[in-house]
Amino acid sequence: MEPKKYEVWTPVTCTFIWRSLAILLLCIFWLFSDDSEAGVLLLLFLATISLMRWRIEMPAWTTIFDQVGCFIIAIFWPGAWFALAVPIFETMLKGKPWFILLSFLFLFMESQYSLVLLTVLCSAAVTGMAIYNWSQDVEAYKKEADRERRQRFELETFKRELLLANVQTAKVAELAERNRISKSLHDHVGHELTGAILALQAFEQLWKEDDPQAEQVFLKAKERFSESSRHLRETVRNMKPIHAMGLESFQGIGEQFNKCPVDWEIHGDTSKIPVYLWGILEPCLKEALTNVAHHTEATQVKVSLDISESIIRLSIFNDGVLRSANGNGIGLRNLRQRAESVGGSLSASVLRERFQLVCVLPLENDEKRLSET
Amino acid sequence: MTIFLFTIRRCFRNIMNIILLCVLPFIVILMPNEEWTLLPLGFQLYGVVLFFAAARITSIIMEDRTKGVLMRIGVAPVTHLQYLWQNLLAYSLILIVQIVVVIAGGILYGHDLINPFLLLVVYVLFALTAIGFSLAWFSLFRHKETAFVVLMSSIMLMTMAGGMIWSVELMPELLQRLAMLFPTYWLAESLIIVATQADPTELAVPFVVLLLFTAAFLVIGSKRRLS
Repeated sequence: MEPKKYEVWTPVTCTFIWRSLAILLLCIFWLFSDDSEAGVLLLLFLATISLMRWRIEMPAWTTIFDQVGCFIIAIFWPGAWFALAVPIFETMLKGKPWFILLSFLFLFMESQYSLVLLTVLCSAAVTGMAIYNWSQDVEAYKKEADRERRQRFELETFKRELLLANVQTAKVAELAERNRISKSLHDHVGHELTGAILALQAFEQLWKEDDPQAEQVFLKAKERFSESSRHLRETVRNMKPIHAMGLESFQGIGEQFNKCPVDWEIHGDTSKIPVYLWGILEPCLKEALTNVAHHTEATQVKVSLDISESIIRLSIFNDGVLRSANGNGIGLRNLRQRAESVGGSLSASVLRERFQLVCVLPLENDEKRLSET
Repeated sequence: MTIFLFTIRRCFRNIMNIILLCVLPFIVILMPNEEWTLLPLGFQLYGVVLFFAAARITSIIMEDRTKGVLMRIGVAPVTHLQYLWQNLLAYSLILIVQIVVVIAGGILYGHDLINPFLLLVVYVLFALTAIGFSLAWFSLFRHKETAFVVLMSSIMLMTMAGGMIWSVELMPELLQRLAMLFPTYWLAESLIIVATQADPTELAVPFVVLLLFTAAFLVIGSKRRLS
Protein backbone atom coordinates (compact mmCIF):
# COMPACT_ATOMS: atom_id res chain seq x y z
CA MET A 1 0.00 0.00 0.00
CA GLU A 2 1.41 3.40 -0.98
CA PRO A 3 1.91 5.78 1.95
CA LYS A 4 -0.24 8.88 1.79
CA LYS A 5 1.36 12.29 1.43
CA TYR A 6 0.99 13.27 5.07
CA GLU A 7 2.37 9.91 6.22
CA VAL A 8 5.89 11.04 5.25
CA TRP A 9 5.76 13.45 8.20
CA THR A 10 6.18 11.01 11.03
CA PRO A 11 7.55 11.91 14.49
CA VAL A 12 10.78 10.12 13.53
CA THR A 13 11.28 12.22 10.38
CA CYS A 14 10.52 15.44 12.23
CA THR A 15 12.96 14.54 15.00
CA PHE A 16 15.64 13.86 12.38
CA ILE A 17 14.95 17.19 10.67
CA TRP A 18 15.03 19.06 14.00
CA ARG A 19 18.36 17.50 14.99
CA SER A 20 19.96 18.23 11.60
CA LEU A 21 18.70 21.80 11.62
CA ALA A 22 19.89 22.36 15.18
CA ILE A 23 23.42 21.15 14.39
CA LEU A 24 23.50 23.17 11.15
CA LEU A 25 22.33 26.36 12.85
CA LEU A 26 24.84 25.87 15.66
CA CYS A 27 27.57 25.42 13.03
CA ILE A 28 26.58 28.69 11.36
CA PHE A 29 26.33 30.43 14.73
CA TRP A 30 29.81 29.18 15.64
CA LEU A 31 31.16 30.18 12.21
CA PHE A 32 30.20 33.81 12.78
CA SER A 33 31.24 33.97 16.44
CA ASP A 34 34.78 34.60 17.59
CA ASP A 35 35.73 31.26 19.02
CA SER A 36 38.34 28.78 17.89
CA GLU A 37 38.64 25.18 18.96
CA ALA A 38 36.26 24.67 21.86
CA GLY A 39 33.18 25.25 19.70
CA VAL A 40 34.30 22.63 17.17
CA LEU A 41 34.70 20.12 19.98
CA LEU A 42 31.21 20.81 21.27
CA LEU A 43 29.65 20.73 17.80
CA LEU A 44 31.33 17.44 16.98
CA PHE A 45 30.35 15.97 20.33
CA LEU A 46 26.71 17.00 19.89
CA ALA A 47 26.67 15.78 16.28
CA THR A 48 28.10 12.40 17.29
CA ILE A 49 25.71 11.90 20.18
CA SER A 50 22.74 13.00 18.02
CA LEU A 51 23.77 10.51 15.35
CA MET A 52 23.97 7.82 18.02
CA ARG A 53 20.46 8.74 19.19
CA TRP A 54 19.33 8.41 15.60
CA ARG A 55 20.84 4.93 15.33
CA ILE A 56 20.13 3.48 18.77
CA GLU A 57 17.59 4.07 21.53
CA MET A 58 19.38 5.98 24.26
CA PRO A 59 17.85 6.64 27.70
CA ALA A 60 16.92 10.17 28.80
CA TRP A 61 19.68 10.38 31.43
CA THR A 62 22.34 10.39 28.68
CA THR A 63 21.33 14.01 27.98
CA ILE A 64 23.24 14.87 31.17
CA PHE A 65 26.46 14.30 29.18
CA ASP A 66 25.36 16.82 26.56
CA GLN A 67 24.43 19.33 29.24
CA VAL A 68 27.74 18.93 31.08
CA GLY A 69 29.56 19.27 27.74
CA CYS A 70 27.73 22.53 27.07
CA PHE A 71 28.55 23.90 30.58
CA ILE A 72 32.25 23.11 30.19
CA ILE A 73 32.53 24.59 26.68
CA ALA A 74 30.49 27.64 27.79
CA ILE A 75 33.51 28.65 29.88
CA PHE A 76 35.52 29.07 26.63
CA TRP A 77 32.72 29.96 24.24
CA PRO A 78 29.58 31.68 25.63
CA GLY A 79 27.64 30.65 22.52
CA ALA A 80 27.62 27.12 23.96
CA TRP A 81 24.62 28.12 26.11
CA PHE A 82 22.55 28.01 22.91
CA ALA A 83 23.73 24.44 22.34
CA LEU A 84 21.71 23.49 25.46
CA ALA A 85 18.71 23.48 23.11
CA VAL A 86 19.83 20.04 21.89
CA PRO A 87 19.79 18.21 25.25
CA ILE A 88 16.61 20.07 26.28
CA PHE A 89 14.88 18.91 23.10
CA GLU A 90 16.09 15.33 23.61
CA THR A 91 14.93 15.28 27.23
CA MET A 92 11.45 16.50 26.32
CA LEU A 93 11.37 14.03 23.43
CA LYS A 94 11.72 11.22 25.96
CA GLY A 95 8.94 12.71 28.11
CA LYS A 96 11.22 13.15 31.12
CA PRO A 97 11.40 16.91 31.70
CA TRP A 98 13.07 16.70 35.12
CA PHE A 99 16.47 16.11 33.47
CA ILE A 100 16.49 19.70 32.17
CA LEU A 101 16.40 21.07 35.72
CA LEU A 102 20.20 20.79 35.69
CA SER A 103 20.40 23.16 32.70
CA PHE A 104 18.12 25.73 34.28
CA LEU A 105 20.06 25.49 37.55
CA PHE A 106 23.30 26.32 35.72
CA LEU A 107 21.63 29.06 33.70
CA PHE A 108 20.42 30.57 36.96
CA MET A 109 23.82 30.23 38.62
CA GLU A 110 25.61 31.80 35.65
CA SER A 111 22.93 34.54 35.41
CA GLN A 112 22.14 33.79 31.78
CA TYR A 113 18.86 35.67 31.38
CA SER A 114 19.19 36.67 27.74
CA LEU A 115 15.74 36.78 26.18
CA VAL A 116 16.97 35.26 22.91
CA LEU A 117 18.61 32.37 24.75
CA LEU A 118 15.52 31.67 26.86
CA THR A 119 13.30 31.84 23.76
CA VAL A 120 15.51 29.36 21.89
CA LEU A 121 15.59 26.94 24.85
CA CYS A 122 11.85 27.20 25.48
CA SER A 123 10.99 26.65 21.84
CA ALA A 124 13.28 23.58 21.79
CA ALA A 125 11.49 22.26 24.88
CA VAL A 126 8.03 22.89 23.41
CA THR A 127 8.97 21.27 20.09
CA GLY A 128 10.38 18.24 21.90
CA MET A 129 7.23 17.94 24.00
CA ALA A 130 4.98 18.27 20.94
CA ILE A 131 6.83 15.55 19.06
CA TYR A 132 6.76 13.33 22.17
CA ASN A 133 2.98 13.69 22.50
CA TRP A 134 2.56 13.17 18.79
CA SER A 135 4.56 9.92 18.87
CA GLN A 136 2.55 8.75 21.90
CA ASP A 137 -0.68 9.40 19.96
CA VAL A 138 0.62 7.57 16.91
CA GLU A 139 1.58 4.63 19.12
CA ALA A 140 -1.88 4.58 20.73
CA TYR A 141 -3.59 4.68 17.31
CA LYS A 142 -1.41 1.85 16.07
CA LYS A 143 -2.33 -0.29 19.06
CA GLU A 144 -6.01 0.55 18.61
CA ALA A 145 -5.86 -0.34 14.91
CA ASP A 146 -4.12 -3.63 15.71
CA ARG A 147 -6.73 -4.51 18.30
CA GLU A 148 -9.58 -3.73 15.94
CA ARG A 149 -7.98 -5.76 13.19
CA ARG A 150 -7.63 -8.74 15.52
CA GLN A 151 -11.22 -8.44 16.68
CA ARG A 152 -12.46 -8.26 13.10
CA PHE A 153 -10.45 -11.33 12.24
CA GLU A 154 -11.88 -13.22 15.22
CA LEU A 155 -15.42 -12.18 14.28
CA GLU A 156 -14.97 -13.33 10.71
CA THR A 157 -13.62 -16.68 11.87
CA PHE A 158 -16.53 -17.02 14.26
CA LYS A 159 -18.99 -16.16 11.51
CA ARG A 160 -17.46 -18.72 9.16
CA GLU A 161 -17.75 -21.38 11.84
CA LEU A 162 -21.37 -20.43 12.50
CA LEU A 163 -22.24 -20.68 8.82
CA LEU A 164 -20.60 -24.08 8.63
CA ALA A 165 -22.48 -25.18 11.73
CA ASN A 166 -25.70 -23.92 10.12
CA VAL A 167 -25.19 -26.11 7.07
CA GLN A 168 -24.31 -29.10 9.17
CA THR A 169 -27.39 -28.57 11.35
CA ALA A 170 -29.59 -28.46 8.25
CA LYS A 171 -28.10 -31.72 7.02
CA VAL A 172 -28.48 -33.41 10.42
CA ALA A 173 -32.08 -32.14 10.71
CA GLU A 174 -32.90 -33.62 7.33
CA LEU A 175 -31.46 -36.98 8.29
CA ALA A 176 -33.29 -36.91 11.63
CA GLU A 177 -36.52 -36.18 9.80
CA ARG A 178 -35.97 -39.08 7.42
CA ASN A 179 -35.27 -41.28 10.39
CA ARG A 180 -38.50 -40.17 12.05
CA ILE A 181 -40.53 -40.84 8.92
CA SER A 182 -38.99 -44.26 8.41
CA LYS A 183 -39.60 -45.07 12.09
CA SER A 184 -43.18 -43.89 11.91
CA LEU A 185 -43.87 -45.91 8.75
CA HIS A 186 -42.24 -48.98 10.26
CA ASP A 187 -43.90 -48.77 13.69
CA HIS A 188 -47.44 -47.84 12.69
CA VAL A 189 -48.22 -48.24 8.99
CA GLY A 190 -45.94 -51.30 8.55
CA HIS A 191 -47.25 -52.96 11.68
CA GLU A 192 -50.92 -52.48 10.71
CA LEU A 193 -50.30 -53.57 7.11
CA THR A 194 -48.54 -56.78 8.24
CA GLY A 195 -51.47 -57.46 10.60
CA ALA A 196 -53.94 -56.84 7.79
CA ILE A 197 -52.06 -59.15 5.40
CA LEU A 198 -51.99 -61.91 8.06
CA ALA A 199 -55.73 -61.41 8.66
CA LEU A 200 -56.37 -61.61 4.90
CA GLN A 201 -54.41 -64.86 4.67
CA ALA A 202 -56.45 -66.26 7.61
CA PHE A 203 -59.65 -65.09 5.92
CA GLU A 204 -58.62 -66.81 2.68
CA GLN A 205 -58.13 -70.10 4.54
CA LEU A 206 -61.43 -69.79 6.47
CA TRP A 207 -63.28 -68.70 3.35
CA LYS A 208 -62.06 -71.81 1.48
CA GLU A 209 -63.26 -73.99 4.41
CA ASP A 210 -66.58 -72.08 4.55
CA ASP A 211 -65.99 -71.28 8.15
CA PRO A 212 -68.57 -68.86 9.65
CA GLN A 213 -65.65 -66.93 11.36
CA ALA A 214 -64.42 -65.83 7.93
CA GLU A 215 -66.59 -62.75 7.87
CA GLN A 216 -65.35 -61.62 11.26
CA VAL A 217 -61.71 -62.04 10.17
CA PHE A 218 -62.44 -60.12 6.98
CA LEU A 219 -63.86 -57.21 8.98
CA LYS A 220 -60.77 -57.21 11.18
CA ALA A 221 -58.49 -57.08 8.15
CA LYS A 222 -60.52 -54.21 6.72
CA GLU A 223 -60.30 -52.38 10.03
CA ARG A 224 -56.50 -52.84 10.01
CA PHE A 225 -56.25 -51.50 6.46
CA SER A 226 -58.22 -48.40 7.38
CA GLU A 227 -56.02 -48.00 10.48
CA SER A 228 -52.84 -48.18 8.38
CA SER A 229 -54.33 -45.77 5.88
CA ARG A 230 -55.05 -43.35 8.71
CA HIS A 231 -51.48 -43.67 10.04
CA LEU A 232 -50.11 -43.04 6.56
CA ARG A 233 -52.25 -39.91 6.23
CA GLU A 234 -51.09 -38.65 9.61
CA THR A 235 -47.42 -39.26 8.80
CA VAL A 236 -47.80 -37.42 5.50
CA ARG A 237 -49.61 -34.55 7.19
CA ASN A 238 -46.86 -34.26 9.82
CA MET A 239 -44.23 -34.17 7.08
CA LYS A 240 -45.82 -31.29 5.26
CA PRO A 241 -44.22 -27.99 6.39
CA ILE A 242 -46.41 -25.11 7.51
CA HIS A 243 -44.44 -22.56 5.46
CA ALA A 244 -43.93 -22.81 1.74
CA MET A 245 -40.45 -24.07 0.88
CA GLY A 246 -38.35 -24.41 -2.23
CA LEU A 247 -39.28 -23.06 -5.62
CA GLU A 248 -42.66 -21.81 -4.50
CA SER A 249 -41.20 -19.57 -1.84
CA PHE A 250 -38.32 -18.61 -4.18
CA GLN A 251 -40.63 -17.37 -6.88
CA GLY A 252 -42.79 -15.70 -4.22
CA ILE A 253 -39.89 -13.32 -3.49
CA GLY A 254 -39.85 -12.27 -7.14
CA GLU A 255 -43.59 -11.76 -7.25
CA GLN A 256 -43.46 -9.40 -4.29
CA PHE A 257 -40.95 -7.22 -6.16
CA ASN A 258 -42.88 -4.54 -8.01
CA LYS A 259 -40.30 -2.01 -9.21
CA CYS A 260 -39.90 -3.70 -12.57
CA PRO A 261 -40.89 -7.01 -14.18
CA VAL A 262 -38.91 -10.10 -13.22
CA ASP A 263 -38.30 -12.71 -15.96
CA TRP A 264 -37.81 -16.27 -14.81
CA GLU A 265 -35.84 -19.01 -16.48
CA ILE A 266 -35.68 -22.26 -14.57
CA HIS A 267 -34.02 -25.36 -15.98
CA GLY A 268 -33.57 -28.68 -14.24
CA ASP A 269 -35.16 -30.48 -11.33
CA THR A 270 -35.66 -28.05 -8.42
CA SER A 271 -36.58 -30.89 -6.08
CA LYS A 272 -32.92 -31.91 -6.08
CA ILE A 273 -32.00 -28.76 -4.19
CA PRO A 274 -31.58 -29.48 -0.48
CA VAL A 275 -33.12 -27.16 2.07
CA TYR A 276 -29.80 -25.65 3.23
CA LEU A 277 -29.03 -24.51 -0.34
CA TRP A 278 -32.46 -22.86 -0.63
CA GLY A 279 -31.33 -21.05 2.53
CA ILE A 280 -28.54 -19.45 0.46
CA LEU A 281 -30.35 -18.98 -2.86
CA GLU A 282 -33.25 -17.10 -1.28
CA PRO A 283 -31.11 -14.45 0.51
CA CYS A 284 -29.13 -14.08 -2.76
CA LEU A 285 -32.26 -13.20 -4.67
CA LYS A 286 -33.51 -10.93 -1.88
CA GLU A 287 -30.17 -9.05 -1.72
CA ALA A 288 -30.01 -8.68 -5.49
CA LEU A 289 -33.56 -7.34 -5.69
CA THR A 290 -32.92 -4.97 -2.77
CA ASN A 291 -29.83 -3.65 -4.56
CA VAL A 292 -31.84 -3.19 -7.74
CA ALA A 293 -34.43 -1.19 -5.79
CA HIS A 294 -31.83 0.99 -4.02
CA HIS A 295 -29.05 1.58 -6.49
CA THR A 296 -30.47 1.28 -9.98
CA GLU A 297 -33.08 2.53 -12.33
CA ALA A 298 -33.59 -0.90 -13.81
CA THR A 299 -36.20 -1.63 -16.45
CA GLN A 300 -35.88 -5.38 -16.26
CA VAL A 301 -34.51 -8.10 -14.03
CA LYS A 302 -33.71 -11.57 -15.32
CA VAL A 303 -33.42 -14.45 -12.90
CA SER A 304 -32.16 -17.75 -14.21
CA LEU A 305 -31.77 -20.90 -12.15
CA ASP A 306 -30.01 -23.90 -13.68
CA ILE A 307 -29.85 -27.17 -11.85
CA SER A 308 -27.47 -29.71 -13.33
CA GLU A 309 -26.21 -33.04 -11.98
CA SER A 310 -23.58 -31.50 -9.76
CA ILE A 311 -24.09 -27.72 -9.54
CA ILE A 312 -26.75 -25.07 -9.14
CA ARG A 313 -26.19 -21.78 -10.92
CA LEU A 314 -28.27 -18.77 -10.00
CA SER A 315 -27.79 -15.69 -12.17
CA ILE A 316 -29.53 -12.39 -11.51
CA PHE A 317 -29.12 -9.73 -14.17
CA ASN A 318 -30.38 -6.16 -14.27
CA ASP A 319 -29.73 -2.99 -16.25
CA GLY A 320 -29.70 0.70 -15.29
CA VAL A 321 -26.91 0.74 -12.70
CA LEU A 322 -26.61 4.30 -11.36
CA ARG A 323 -23.54 4.47 -9.15
CA SER A 324 -20.38 2.52 -9.58
CA ALA A 325 -20.76 -0.78 -7.80
CA ASN A 326 -17.82 -3.02 -7.13
CA GLY A 327 -19.56 -6.03 -5.69
CA ASN A 328 -17.84 -5.67 -2.34
CA GLY A 329 -20.69 -4.38 -0.19
CA ILE A 330 -21.44 -5.87 3.21
CA GLY A 331 -24.51 -7.75 1.96
CA LEU A 332 -22.68 -9.35 -0.93
CA ARG A 333 -19.68 -10.12 1.27
CA ASN A 334 -21.91 -11.97 3.72
CA LEU A 335 -23.54 -13.90 0.89
CA ARG A 336 -20.15 -14.75 -0.55
CA GLN A 337 -19.08 -16.14 2.81
CA ARG A 338 -22.26 -18.19 3.06
CA ALA A 339 -21.75 -19.54 -0.46
CA GLU A 340 -18.12 -20.36 0.34
CA SER A 341 -19.15 -22.15 3.52
CA VAL A 342 -20.91 -24.80 1.39
CA GLY A 343 -18.06 -24.91 -1.16
CA GLY A 344 -19.65 -22.54 -3.67
CA SER A 345 -18.82 -19.10 -4.98
CA LEU A 346 -20.48 -15.77 -5.65
CA SER A 347 -19.34 -13.16 -8.13
CA ALA A 348 -20.65 -9.76 -9.08
CA SER A 349 -19.74 -7.80 -12.18
CA VAL A 350 -20.69 -4.45 -13.64
CA LEU A 351 -20.44 -3.86 -17.37
CA ARG A 352 -21.89 -0.83 -19.14
CA GLU A 353 -24.51 -0.04 -16.52
CA ARG A 354 -25.49 -3.69 -16.30
CA PHE A 355 -25.09 -5.68 -13.19
CA GLN A 356 -24.87 -9.43 -12.95
CA LEU A 357 -24.73 -11.52 -9.83
CA VAL A 358 -23.83 -15.18 -10.25
CA CYS A 359 -23.99 -17.70 -7.47
CA VAL A 360 -22.72 -21.21 -8.09
CA LEU A 361 -23.33 -23.90 -5.48
CA PRO A 362 -22.22 -27.53 -5.58
CA LEU A 363 -24.96 -30.13 -5.43
CA GLU A 364 -24.15 -33.23 -3.45
CA ASN A 365 -25.65 -36.57 -4.41
CA ASP A 366 -27.84 -38.19 -1.82
CA GLU A 367 -25.79 -41.37 -1.83
CA LYS A 368 -22.59 -39.43 -1.34
CA ARG A 369 -24.08 -37.36 1.47
CA LEU A 370 -25.41 -40.41 3.24
CA SER A 371 -22.08 -42.19 2.96
CA GLU A 372 -20.32 -39.12 4.35
CA THR A 373 -22.56 -38.85 7.38
CA MET B 1 38.51 -14.23 10.84
CA THR B 2 37.84 -15.51 7.33
CA ILE B 3 36.33 -12.18 6.26
CA PHE B 4 39.31 -10.31 7.70
CA LEU B 5 41.89 -12.39 5.80
CA PHE B 6 39.83 -12.33 2.64
CA THR B 7 39.48 -8.54 2.83
CA ILE B 8 43.24 -8.14 3.13
CA ARG B 9 43.69 -10.25 0.00
CA ARG B 10 40.99 -8.35 -1.85
CA CYS B 11 42.71 -5.04 -1.08
CA PHE B 12 45.67 -6.10 -3.22
CA ARG B 13 43.79 -7.54 -6.18
CA ASN B 14 43.47 -4.28 -8.03
CA ILE B 15 46.42 -2.65 -9.82
CA MET B 16 45.30 0.82 -8.68
CA ASN B 17 45.17 -0.38 -5.08
CA ILE B 18 48.66 -1.86 -5.35
CA ILE B 19 49.98 1.46 -6.66
CA LEU B 20 48.27 3.40 -3.86
CA LEU B 21 49.27 0.99 -1.12
CA CYS B 22 52.74 -0.14 -2.21
CA VAL B 23 54.21 2.27 -4.76
CA LEU B 24 53.06 5.71 -3.58
CA PRO B 25 54.53 5.28 -0.07
CA PHE B 26 57.97 4.90 -1.63
CA ILE B 27 57.47 8.03 -3.71
CA VAL B 28 56.49 9.78 -0.47
CA ILE B 29 59.74 8.64 1.14
CA LEU B 30 61.81 9.59 -1.89
CA MET B 31 60.38 13.10 -2.23
CA PRO B 32 63.00 15.76 -1.52
CA ASN B 33 63.33 17.96 1.55
CA GLU B 34 62.10 21.47 0.84
CA GLU B 35 63.19 24.52 2.75
CA TRP B 36 59.72 26.04 2.97
CA THR B 37 58.00 23.06 4.58
CA LEU B 38 58.24 22.12 8.25
CA LEU B 39 58.33 18.41 7.49
CA PRO B 40 59.81 16.77 4.38
CA LEU B 41 57.50 17.47 1.43
CA GLY B 42 56.42 13.83 1.06
CA PHE B 43 55.30 13.62 4.66
CA GLN B 44 53.47 16.90 4.35
CA LEU B 45 51.42 15.41 1.49
CA TYR B 46 51.23 11.89 2.88
CA GLY B 47 47.81 12.67 4.42
CA VAL B 48 46.34 13.06 0.92
CA VAL B 49 47.77 9.68 -0.10
CA LEU B 50 46.31 8.13 3.06
CA PHE B 51 42.91 9.65 2.33
CA PHE B 52 42.87 8.33 -1.24
CA ALA B 53 44.11 4.90 -0.15
CA ALA B 54 41.40 4.70 2.54
CA ALA B 55 38.72 5.72 0.04
CA ARG B 56 39.98 3.17 -2.47
CA ILE B 57 40.03 0.18 -0.12
CA THR B 58 36.81 1.10 1.69
CA SER B 59 34.99 1.00 -1.64
CA ILE B 60 35.11 -2.81 -1.26
CA ILE B 61 32.14 -2.54 1.12
CA MET B 62 30.21 -0.54 -1.45
CA GLU B 63 31.11 -3.11 -4.11
CA ASP B 64 29.76 -5.85 -1.84
CA ARG B 65 26.54 -3.92 -1.42
CA THR B 66 25.97 -3.21 -5.12
CA LYS B 67 26.86 -6.75 -6.19
CA GLY B 68 24.51 -8.29 -3.63
CA VAL B 69 27.26 -9.90 -1.54
CA LEU B 70 25.85 -8.17 1.54
CA MET B 71 22.47 -9.72 0.81
CA ARG B 72 24.05 -13.18 0.74
CA ILE B 73 26.00 -12.41 3.91
CA GLY B 74 22.68 -11.40 5.44
CA VAL B 75 21.45 -14.98 5.17
CA ALA B 76 24.80 -16.52 6.17
CA PRO B 77 25.53 -17.24 9.85
CA VAL B 78 27.58 -14.02 10.08
CA THR B 79 26.22 -10.88 11.73
CA HIS B 80 26.54 -7.51 10.05
CA LEU B 81 28.68 -6.37 12.99
CA GLN B 82 31.17 -9.19 12.44
CA TYR B 83 31.36 -8.41 8.74
CA LEU B 84 31.83 -4.72 9.43
CA TRP B 85 34.47 -4.89 12.14
CA GLN B 86 36.53 -7.52 10.31
CA ASN B 87 36.51 -5.34 7.19
CA LEU B 88 37.39 -2.19 9.12
CA LEU B 89 40.12 -4.02 11.02
CA ALA B 90 41.63 -5.19 7.73
CA TYR B 91 41.59 -1.67 6.25
CA SER B 92 43.06 -0.15 9.42
CA LEU B 93 45.77 -2.78 9.63
CA ILE B 94 46.82 -2.28 6.00
CA LEU B 95 47.02 1.49 6.47
CA ILE B 96 48.84 1.21 9.83
CA VAL B 97 51.43 -1.11 8.28
CA GLN B 98 51.81 1.36 5.42
CA ILE B 99 52.31 4.25 7.87
CA VAL B 100 54.90 2.27 9.85
CA VAL B 101 56.74 1.43 6.60
CA VAL B 102 56.65 5.07 5.45
CA ILE B 103 57.96 6.41 8.75
CA ALA B 104 60.63 3.70 9.09
CA GLY B 105 61.59 4.27 5.45
CA GLY B 106 61.76 8.02 6.04
CA ILE B 107 64.12 7.57 8.97
CA LEU B 108 66.29 5.12 7.04
CA TYR B 109 66.36 7.45 4.03
CA GLY B 110 67.69 10.13 6.30
CA HIS B 111 64.75 12.52 6.64
CA ASP B 112 64.51 14.53 9.83
CA LEU B 113 61.08 13.50 11.13
CA ILE B 114 61.50 15.40 14.46
CA ASN B 115 59.27 13.05 16.53
CA PRO B 116 58.56 9.88 14.50
CA PHE B 117 56.40 8.27 17.20
CA LEU B 118 54.03 11.21 17.52
CA LEU B 119 53.96 11.45 13.74
CA LEU B 120 52.94 7.79 13.60
CA VAL B 121 50.10 8.36 16.08
CA VAL B 122 48.88 11.40 14.11
CA TYR B 123 48.84 9.49 10.84
CA VAL B 124 47.19 6.42 12.40
CA LEU B 125 44.40 8.54 13.89
CA PHE B 126 43.91 10.32 10.59
CA ALA B 127 43.85 6.99 8.72
CA LEU B 128 41.03 5.82 11.01
CA THR B 129 39.12 9.05 10.38
CA ALA B 130 39.66 8.68 6.62
CA ILE B 131 38.32 5.10 6.72
CA GLY B 132 35.31 6.25 8.74
CA PHE B 133 34.68 9.14 6.37
CA SER B 134 34.85 6.91 3.30
CA LEU B 135 32.55 4.36 4.93
CA ALA B 136 29.99 7.04 5.77
CA TRP B 137 30.34 8.54 2.30
CA PHE B 138 29.75 5.24 0.49
CA SER B 139 26.75 4.47 2.67
CA LEU B 140 25.00 7.53 1.22
CA PHE B 141 25.34 6.48 -2.44
CA ARG B 142 23.80 3.82 -4.63
CA HIS B 143 26.26 3.74 -7.55
CA LYS B 144 29.90 3.05 -6.90
CA GLU B 145 31.25 5.14 -9.79
CA THR B 146 29.29 8.25 -8.81
CA ALA B 147 30.24 7.87 -5.17
CA PHE B 148 33.90 7.43 -6.05
CA VAL B 149 34.15 10.36 -8.43
CA VAL B 150 32.37 12.74 -6.04
CA LEU B 151 34.46 11.44 -3.15
CA MET B 152 37.71 12.11 -5.03
CA SER B 153 36.66 15.70 -5.68
CA SER B 154 35.56 16.14 -2.07
CA ILE B 155 38.87 14.79 -0.79
CA MET B 156 40.74 17.25 -2.98
CA LEU B 157 38.57 20.11 -1.77
CA MET B 158 38.96 19.05 1.84
CA THR B 159 42.73 18.76 1.57
CA MET B 160 42.92 22.20 -0.03
CA ALA B 161 40.50 23.79 2.43
CA GLY B 162 42.03 21.95 5.38
CA GLY B 163 45.48 23.42 4.83
CA MET B 164 47.29 20.26 3.79
CA ILE B 165 48.49 21.66 0.47
CA TRP B 166 48.94 25.26 1.52
CA SER B 167 48.80 27.05 4.82
CA VAL B 168 45.37 27.88 6.25
CA GLU B 169 46.56 31.38 7.07
CA LEU B 170 46.60 32.20 3.35
CA MET B 171 42.82 31.87 3.19
CA PRO B 172 40.16 34.45 4.20
CA GLU B 173 39.06 34.57 7.84
CA LEU B 174 35.70 32.88 7.28
CA LEU B 175 37.22 30.05 5.25
CA GLN B 176 39.82 29.56 7.95
CA ARG B 177 37.04 28.98 10.45
CA LEU B 178 35.14 26.78 8.02
CA ALA B 179 38.28 24.67 7.52
CA MET B 180 38.08 23.69 11.18
CA LEU B 181 34.97 21.66 10.38
CA PHE B 182 37.03 19.31 8.17
CA PRO B 183 39.19 16.50 9.58
CA THR B 184 42.03 17.48 7.22
CA TYR B 185 42.50 20.75 9.14
CA TRP B 186 43.14 18.81 12.31
CA LEU B 187 45.71 16.60 10.59
CA ALA B 188 47.53 19.69 9.33
CA GLU B 189 47.25 21.21 12.80
CA SER B 190 48.71 18.10 14.45
CA LEU B 191 51.54 17.96 11.91
CA ILE B 192 52.39 21.60 12.71
CA ILE B 193 52.38 20.86 16.45
CA VAL B 194 54.66 17.84 15.94
CA ALA B 195 56.95 19.67 13.50
CA THR B 196 57.35 22.77 15.67
CA GLN B 197 58.11 20.57 18.68
CA ALA B 198 55.39 22.25 20.71
CA ASP B 199 54.08 20.82 23.95
CA PRO B 200 52.64 17.34 23.13
CA THR B 201 49.59 18.08 25.33
CA GLU B 202 48.53 20.54 22.65
CA LEU B 203 47.85 17.49 20.50
CA ALA B 204 44.98 16.51 22.81
CA VAL B 205 42.39 18.72 21.10
CA PRO B 206 43.21 17.62 17.51
CA PHE B 207 43.27 14.00 18.64
CA VAL B 208 39.91 14.26 20.41
CA VAL B 209 38.44 16.02 17.38
CA LEU B 210 39.77 13.34 15.02
CA LEU B 211 38.38 10.61 17.28
CA LEU B 212 34.99 12.37 17.43
CA PHE B 213 34.98 12.65 13.63
CA THR B 214 35.76 8.93 13.39
CA ALA B 215 32.97 8.06 15.82
CA ALA B 216 30.42 10.24 14.00
CA PHE B 217 31.38 8.82 10.59
CA LEU B 218 31.27 5.25 11.89
CA VAL B 219 27.80 5.80 13.33
CA ILE B 220 26.58 6.93 9.91
CA GLY B 221 28.53 4.35 7.92
CA SER B 222 27.67 1.33 10.05
CA LYS B 223 23.98 1.54 9.17
CA ARG B 224 23.06 -1.67 7.43
CA ARG B 225 21.96 -1.16 3.85
CA LEU B 226 21.36 -4.08 1.55
CA SER B 227 20.68 -2.38 -1.76
